[in-house]
Amino acid sequence: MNRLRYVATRLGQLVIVLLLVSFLTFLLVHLLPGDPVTTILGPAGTAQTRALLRAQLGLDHSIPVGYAIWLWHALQGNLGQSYLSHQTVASAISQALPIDIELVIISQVLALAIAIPLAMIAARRPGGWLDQVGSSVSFGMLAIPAFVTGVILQQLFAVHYHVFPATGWTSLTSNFVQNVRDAALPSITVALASVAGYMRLLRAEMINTLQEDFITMARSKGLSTPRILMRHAFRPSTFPLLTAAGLSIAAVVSSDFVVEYIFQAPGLGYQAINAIYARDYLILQGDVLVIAVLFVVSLFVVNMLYAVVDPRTRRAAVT
Amino acid sequence: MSLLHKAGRLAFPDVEAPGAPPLLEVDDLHTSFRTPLGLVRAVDGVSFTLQRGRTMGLVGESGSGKTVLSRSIMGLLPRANLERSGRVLFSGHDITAMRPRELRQVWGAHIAMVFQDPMTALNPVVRIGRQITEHLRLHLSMSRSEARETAIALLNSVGIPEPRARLRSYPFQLSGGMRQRVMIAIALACGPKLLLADEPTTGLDVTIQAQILDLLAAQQAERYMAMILVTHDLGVVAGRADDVVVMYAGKIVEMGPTNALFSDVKMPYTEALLASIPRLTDPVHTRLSAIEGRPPDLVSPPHGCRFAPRCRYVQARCTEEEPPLVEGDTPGHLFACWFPVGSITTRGPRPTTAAQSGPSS
Repeated sequence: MNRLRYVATRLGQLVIVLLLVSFLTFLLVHLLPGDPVTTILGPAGTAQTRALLRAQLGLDHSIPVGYAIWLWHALQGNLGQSYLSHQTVASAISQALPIDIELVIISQVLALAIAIPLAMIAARRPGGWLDQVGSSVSFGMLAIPAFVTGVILQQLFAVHYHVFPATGWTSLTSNFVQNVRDAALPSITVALASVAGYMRLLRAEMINTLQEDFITMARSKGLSTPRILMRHAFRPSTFPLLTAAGLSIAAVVSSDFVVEYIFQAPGLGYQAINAIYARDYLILQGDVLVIAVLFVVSLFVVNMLYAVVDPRTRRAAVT
Repeated sequence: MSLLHKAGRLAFPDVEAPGAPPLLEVDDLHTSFRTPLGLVRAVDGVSFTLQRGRTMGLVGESGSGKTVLSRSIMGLLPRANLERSGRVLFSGHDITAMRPRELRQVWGAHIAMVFQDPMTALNPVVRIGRQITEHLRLHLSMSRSEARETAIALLNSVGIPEPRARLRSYPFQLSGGMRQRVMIAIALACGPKLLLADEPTTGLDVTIQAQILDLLAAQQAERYMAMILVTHDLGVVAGRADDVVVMYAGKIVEMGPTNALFSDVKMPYTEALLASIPRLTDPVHTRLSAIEGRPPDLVSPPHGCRFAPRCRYVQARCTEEEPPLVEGDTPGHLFACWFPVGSITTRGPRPTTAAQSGPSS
């Protein structure tokens, strides 16, 4: 019962935030300087195309009415059409989005799989040599931007050793093996960028948790160190990690256009950058909307996970 | 009950057999912490023995070293910056010489601890059931369902209603008293022979305190365990301990059988502790008696008797020479004082509640 109410409250909040986000995205076109239609079409547009575009953008209505109409269409999956490629925005997104989802999943699973054990080992003896090596390496990794790691990986594994292709993308459904090979380097690049942050966060929190009375209590029961670390210390230490993972999953989609560019993986970020260059504003609007929605939804999922990880949250939402 | 679990591991002799060593023998135990300010000597040469089935009250004010002593006996203190010497013999095995692996076979199985604050000592995100069963499964190799049934029986025996349902609860769903009962059930789970209860009632309501102490006493008698009851409250110890050990600044200053000690308090510190217990027979608005001053700095304790700076009977000799812990007229009653209570007249008025009106007389 408590749990249901918690979820319901959170869902209500989610809907409100989504409305806000979509409204801001809608305004994107209106915020263009001067007449958006002239900005988009340039001076060349005929009166007919101008009128059509004006209608598509909802500019022939007041902002609230225009938003309502746009939202209604968006909910039905109709986000307009690119006037350059004449592809619908929806189909452009549906081509790009799976690439981001795949990259996010592989890279974050990889990052957590590396960061969690490293953090546990480091937290076991803070200041010990394992911790110091870990700290130095992670600081180093934090200092190297993704485009440097990406290029190094390309040089090493594509140019020098020919293990993975340097650029390109094959869809998951058309050729699985080739897809995994294509996804390897960009995923590793994104993962390496996340590992250091995750590791430092979890390490700090684990060190705090290991000072708690209940850890001494667990030791006094004769439990082994790995068991104490995993059963008793890990879960109470995951809250900051969850938040960070939630944010970074969203951030990967929006900010890793650099990685997508280096590896020529045509995800949302890559698409959005190209749309900016080409002034393809409807595509851009669609991409921004999807990224924003992903961001908000992943934070919602993190909040739900809090409730799973920390039973106290479930009650806190009600009382 | 068999002491051998998971064949071939540590075996302990039957302490009940004639000629067997005492269950617990602490011999000149020192425990110090290296700090930036110097070496803090929290436990400074403590010796005593404890037989199975006996309850020892370990009394002292905050900072007297009683908690460090109880953890040091168990070997539970973090090893970083720790210096420990002396011996702790548990059924003849020296705990101070054990490797972590061996210690883990003793912890929870043979020696268990009840912590002070049930709010922080239970893991907030682990269900009660798992917290009771995990070491049952580890030490006694129980199956999931055996451990579950044992846990239900344990919760039942510590007076928790609806034990079956409680297994699925998280600690925050229970009251403070219930949590302390759960903690006791966890400590008792594997049938330890020595239970260390570190201020088990300090965080609880007064009405609950008596219940928890009674529960501990009942379980101690029923299981024929040895128990060390750590407390700052002599009143707690009076009715429940067979022996009392009074600590001050890391040393034992007085120890003996409870009745002998309370009927003839020798050490001025013990007397002062007793006097600081408020009494119902006192007139209303009587000023509470307190011990002047503060416990000494354990990095550089005062010369001579450590209590001398706060003692109402202090003489020149007290600040020059440290009194040894010696036996008085009553066998087993030891104290460390050059001028025991009653041997000289005090400079100030004698506290109204001296040894004569002690709770055990």
